[in-house]
Amino acid sequence: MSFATSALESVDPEVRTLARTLGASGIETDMILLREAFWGVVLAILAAFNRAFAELGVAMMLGGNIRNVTRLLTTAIALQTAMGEIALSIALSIILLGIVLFLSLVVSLARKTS
Amino acid sequence: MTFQIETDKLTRNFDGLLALNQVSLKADSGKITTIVGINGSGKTTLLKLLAGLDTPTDGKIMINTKSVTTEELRGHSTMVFQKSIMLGGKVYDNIEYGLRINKVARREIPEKVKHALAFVNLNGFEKRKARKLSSGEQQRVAIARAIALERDILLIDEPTANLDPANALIIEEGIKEASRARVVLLCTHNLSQARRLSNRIIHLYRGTVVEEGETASFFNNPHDERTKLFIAGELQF
Repeated sequence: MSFATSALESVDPEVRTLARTLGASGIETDMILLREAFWGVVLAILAAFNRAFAELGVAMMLGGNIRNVTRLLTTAIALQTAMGEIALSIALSIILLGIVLFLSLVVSLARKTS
Repeated sequence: MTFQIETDKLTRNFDGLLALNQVSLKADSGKITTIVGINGSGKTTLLKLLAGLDTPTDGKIMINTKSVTTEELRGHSTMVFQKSIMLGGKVYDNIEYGLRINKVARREIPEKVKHALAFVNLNGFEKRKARKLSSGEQQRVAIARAIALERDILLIDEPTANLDPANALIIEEGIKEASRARVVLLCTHNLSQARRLSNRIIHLYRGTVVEEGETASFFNNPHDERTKLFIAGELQF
């Protein structure tokens, strides 16, 4: 949330004034500010997703790591490690990292091409 | 048809700081009216009021002798700022944005963008990234963006401050061309530019109009002592 807020705050405040001189209504002005902050907001969402996706403590405490109900990649990795299934836990870790890297790469490429 | 904007005793007070004090002026289409004055004299405040970006504390603004609200002013005028503000994306997107929000038909937009860019000698710049342009080119895009809207009043605040002479010349030519069909109000503290461009000059000092007149008489026969000092480059705030 704070990343998204700072992305919005980093938009030049004069953009609002410019939009108004061009005839934008209040909503159109807000939309152009959002458009200007678009990639900042996308990166904030991605950072939040990555943070939540790799979360272990909260997932374990709140979810309880119940099979087929609240088991996540991170809690599964922790469980497999505790059970001595190191190979499986490493494989799951690679999948987790792969997903995070893939999403970051997609956003980075989309940002570059836009 | 001629078009006129007029202010009557326009006053703007910022919590006790009197930025504009009973300013009355007139500007007609087909002419360039320049507001000169040292920094802090109230030039930008006046332009913002005329652009409908701010509300006067007192006084009124009239278009063709009819009093108008800030909302109505925004429908008639557009403003170019000293520091050009570019939106993200291409030059085309920057000009198209204003046209789109003003409900210009989609099929007409490419032609209008092309025409506006030709106005400031930026033919073929449509696909260039706006924020990667030089400051002079950005200022020209800002003028093209304002001209594309075909508003009756064009307000320009220090358009060539910090620009090289080549870009300044192109911008000045664009302003002259634009003034044929609309009211152009220009703010500057560059006296040689005011002399080159203006039909009429208004000298603002500490928020008050101290002198106004045709360009030749303003420079050759100023009446106010502060204007004489200003022209001589000796006026202090």
